[in-house]
Amino acid sequence: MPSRISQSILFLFFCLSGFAQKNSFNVTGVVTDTLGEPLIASTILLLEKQDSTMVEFTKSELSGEFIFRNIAPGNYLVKTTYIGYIPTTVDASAHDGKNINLGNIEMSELAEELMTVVIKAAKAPIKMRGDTIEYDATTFQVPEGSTVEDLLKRLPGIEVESDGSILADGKSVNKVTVDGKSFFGSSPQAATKNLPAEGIGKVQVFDTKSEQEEITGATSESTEKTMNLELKEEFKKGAFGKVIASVGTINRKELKGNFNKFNKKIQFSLVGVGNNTGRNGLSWDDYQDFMGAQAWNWGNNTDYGFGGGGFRTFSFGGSSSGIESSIRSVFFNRGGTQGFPENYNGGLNFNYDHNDNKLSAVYYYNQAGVAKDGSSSRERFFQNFTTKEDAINIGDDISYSHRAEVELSKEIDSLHFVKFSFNGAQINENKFSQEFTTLSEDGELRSTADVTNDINTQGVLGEGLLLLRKKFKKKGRSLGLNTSILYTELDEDWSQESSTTFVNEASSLDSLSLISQTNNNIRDKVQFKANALYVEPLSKKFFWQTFYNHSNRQETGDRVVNDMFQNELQLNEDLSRIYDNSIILNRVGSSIRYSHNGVNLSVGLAYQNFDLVGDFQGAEGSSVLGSVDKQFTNWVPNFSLNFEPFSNSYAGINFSRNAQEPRIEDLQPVVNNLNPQYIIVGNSALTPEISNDYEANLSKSYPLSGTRFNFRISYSSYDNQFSTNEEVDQFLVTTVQPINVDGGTNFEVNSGLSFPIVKNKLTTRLRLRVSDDNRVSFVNSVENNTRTISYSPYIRFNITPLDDIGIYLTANLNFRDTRYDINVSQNQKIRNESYSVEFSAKTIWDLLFSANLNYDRYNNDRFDLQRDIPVLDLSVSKPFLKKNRMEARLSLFDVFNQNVGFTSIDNFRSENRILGQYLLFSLTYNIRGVKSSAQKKGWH
Amino acid sequence: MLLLVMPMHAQQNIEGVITFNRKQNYISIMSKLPHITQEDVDRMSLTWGKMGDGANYELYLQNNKSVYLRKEEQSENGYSWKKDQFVLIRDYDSKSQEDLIETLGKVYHIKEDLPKTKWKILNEIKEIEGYLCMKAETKNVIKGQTIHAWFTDAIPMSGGPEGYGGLPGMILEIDINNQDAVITATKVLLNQEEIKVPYPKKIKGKKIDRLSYNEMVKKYIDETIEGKKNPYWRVRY
Repeated sequence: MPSRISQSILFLFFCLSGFAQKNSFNVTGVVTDTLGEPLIASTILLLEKQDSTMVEFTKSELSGEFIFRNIAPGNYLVKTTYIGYIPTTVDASAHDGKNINLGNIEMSELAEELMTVVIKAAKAPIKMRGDTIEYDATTFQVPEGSTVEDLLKRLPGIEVESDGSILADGKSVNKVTVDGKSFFGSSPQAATKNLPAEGIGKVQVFDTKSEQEEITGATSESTEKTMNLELKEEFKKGAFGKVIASVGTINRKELKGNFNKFNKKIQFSLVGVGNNTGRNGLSWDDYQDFMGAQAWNWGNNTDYGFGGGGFRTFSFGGSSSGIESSIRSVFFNRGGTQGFPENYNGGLNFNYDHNDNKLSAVYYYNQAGVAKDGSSSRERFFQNFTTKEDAINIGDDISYSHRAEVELSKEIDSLHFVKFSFNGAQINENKFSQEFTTLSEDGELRSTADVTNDINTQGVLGEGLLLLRKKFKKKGRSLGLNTSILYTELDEDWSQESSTTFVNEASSLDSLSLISQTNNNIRDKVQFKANALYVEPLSKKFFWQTFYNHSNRQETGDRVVNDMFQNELQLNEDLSRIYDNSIILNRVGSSIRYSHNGVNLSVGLAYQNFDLVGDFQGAEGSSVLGSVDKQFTNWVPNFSLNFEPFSNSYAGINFSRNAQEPRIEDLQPVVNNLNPQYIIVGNSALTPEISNDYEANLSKSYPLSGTRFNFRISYSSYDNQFSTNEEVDQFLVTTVQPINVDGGTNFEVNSGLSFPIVKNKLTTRLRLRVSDDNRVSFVNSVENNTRTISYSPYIRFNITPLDDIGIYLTANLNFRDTRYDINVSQNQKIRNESYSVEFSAKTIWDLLFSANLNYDRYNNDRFDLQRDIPVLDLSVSKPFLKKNRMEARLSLFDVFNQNVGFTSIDNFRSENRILGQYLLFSLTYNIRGVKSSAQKKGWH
Repeated sequence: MLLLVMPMHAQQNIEGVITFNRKQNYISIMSKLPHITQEDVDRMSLTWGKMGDGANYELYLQNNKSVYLRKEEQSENGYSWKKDQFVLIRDYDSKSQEDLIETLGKVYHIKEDLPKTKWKILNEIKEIEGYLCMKAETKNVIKGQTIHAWFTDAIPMSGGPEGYGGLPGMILEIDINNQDAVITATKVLLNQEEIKVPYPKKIKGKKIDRLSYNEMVKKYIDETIEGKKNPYWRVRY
């Protein structure tokens, strides 16, 4: 408080001293037009001469007169402004206390041309510099492909003669510069005739100064002018890209490159990757660089539903695999660690975006191969016995695919949007596997199987989508319509050789089954979809939303199975099938939504009908013949509430019921004998699975302290859950059939907390996930309830004491407690631990050292399992060349040579050989320069 | 024919609403942060190059007072996000001002005398919504920004958007750091009908003086930049 008072006193003192100051003076004057007529109520500003800081302002009287009183001595300018006139500035400095009378200040009218063409029509600001006037050329519309000369012809005050010479304000322009630099020697026409007009931002015209004037600063009335053309920012942008090439021991190689060129309208990019290390190196950044403006897809969800507005849903990446996968999924594929990979992929992307028209086209080639070599074991528990399966497997998979996606969209006007897209793909895939399995019961051998499968698949895909969005004059009313058609054709050739032995209880060979089969399967699929969504505002806060979904999936298949018998192919009538089926879904739903000030509440109900129709028959002459014809109807309610209870916090409560129709192959009694010890048959009695999903969440952040907290709880209960019934025969051959069961539940809690211990230096993040899962299945007609309780705590420390040091410590634990109600003695507790230490430091000469240690430990007391897998990677890198355009890096992967693909889930364990220790030398060339950092990049 | 609005009498009570559109160029803002590389800028321009529609604000003028706040708009896509409170009240008779600003997790209430802004008057003119405007410049020391204001003496009131004022006429455009953020008048409705000024029903917030508020914001900006993050997701640019 005292400081406030003293401030006020000080202020008062200055004011008083200002009034009382010696040598203070008055400035008077009259504002008139060029004819001497007074300009009434014009604004007059008193400015400090040094930097134009405003001291005072006033308005002129009816007579055009004005006065500034009691001005402290100093150097001033008086600036007069009046609508339609060029602001005029005159000097008004005084130090001796003499009043100044500026007399008549004559203001000249803005040229009509400048006023109407520049100010009104082009809405361009005009700048006065002495008596020259400058304005922004970007606002002048010229047809596409125009040259600067065409642009100049439109600018007021500039004339272009027939020979191309330029006059500005009647004076000839003898010099044209671009961004201040001389262009193509001294001929001004060279620039104006050749440069495209759309690249020009500003046109400035000023007096050409002679060499002498430049030095002395003296000015004289010049007869010649210089024109400077300032380029637009986006036209200065060119391209960026990089190439990384690596070679290593054990014949490891990597090559990766990308290149981008873009301006405001067009984006063009290339990417290519080849390696046999499995580190395909395509990161999130590469994805964003490649897809450009198409990286984030808004509104790609065309199956409308209860969601808010149904339009602005957001998706990225790809989930489906095989022929229906997308280009995006290549970038997010983190597979390939379970073997020896070899990958080649690359593509090009083109985006055009101008005047509400968008076109994007992308092509991608992907060749992915992986060779596997491993073993697995599985224990199974029955009421009165235990089985163990040991397998050795070898696999060699390779796939080649070409994909192209084209999308065209247009914003017809502010109310209408239309989009068309087409995707095409071709795939060729070969999967080879060899497996040797032994099955034993309570330690006694029951069966062995030696199986070789070789599957070759060729497929094509075509998919088209048309989408229309319409808004109405009435705010909030909207309509969305879309229709799509998908066609796929798969031709699968599969040969199987297997020999299975069965051992009886007396430990002697009971029987031997030899299978030598070829299998040709042609499958066609056509899926037609049509969706509609209509939103009607009931008031400013209430909306009524209605949607309709239609989907019609038609599948036909012709599977011909031949047995090789005495070197001759014989049709297997029982396994061969011709089938034809369709699933038609119709869903109509409606919801009422309240949306206001961060509170969004939606209550809705939908009615859906599945119609499943199928026919199947065996090969000619076979007695296998049947059909499936089922209708299912469900009511699906939906409730959702999202709100912001406090500042920077979000909370939500959601309930939904979801129905999932059975897969058609599960409905058909087709036998799958890919694994002769594990035979899968269909079940025509399957009904849709219904899940009731409840969810609640809360999150809050404290921006000042940097603390964040989130909590989520979810619970699902199932009716008619999809499960399996397994029948195990005396030789432990399992026949499995999909069935519906009741009583399955899933409960999950997720929570997280992150906060800085020392701001920007030491941050910690804690997470805990707890889940309780109850699953029902049948084994030899006995109900089996398996309950799995899992706790996963996680802790991480980010330590960044200096700019050039980054240390990241992580511990990720998983405790799993699995209980079997049919055989309590087999209950087991599993503990998987994963620790990691990542260390990076930048030292002298820009050398960057990195060490990453990943330590995985698997424990299962029930099987006396303890497995430790420490993997340490080291690397050192150094940038060089101008702008650090190159970087050399030497890496040593898996220093301890202990890396292995290991899995341990409940009663299943598998181990696959993967790449171990190797040394890799990499060179990077980056147009933009390599910027290595010891610290991880977070969100900007 | 020139369709420019002629000046009003200074004595006249100006009553009406000016609608402003505020657009922010995130890429340009982020490109100035020290941890952002040219590659990051290129990547952002590729993906997010097109600027959004911005947000609309209204400046209510009545009895030589003004209130500046976010325009209440019906959400079109059906989902409503909570907007941070932002109300700036100026009283040119009593030369006082009151701000309600929700930022960094709290609503702050700042009441003080009208500050004296040091404006430089520049030699540029342009037209905004039919008004011929002159250009003026000042600095925001806390955020290290150069502010350009376009004001018109045809509306003789020393106010403007975003709390700026003190010029010989209404500010119709504010340009922060050379187009990083631009707040432009899109509709000027003056002296046409009686208006109801939406004064906040209750002024509820943590009382703070400008100095402490600026210190707090400055500390957050500095710390966030040091932590290699963009402070302007949370703090108004």
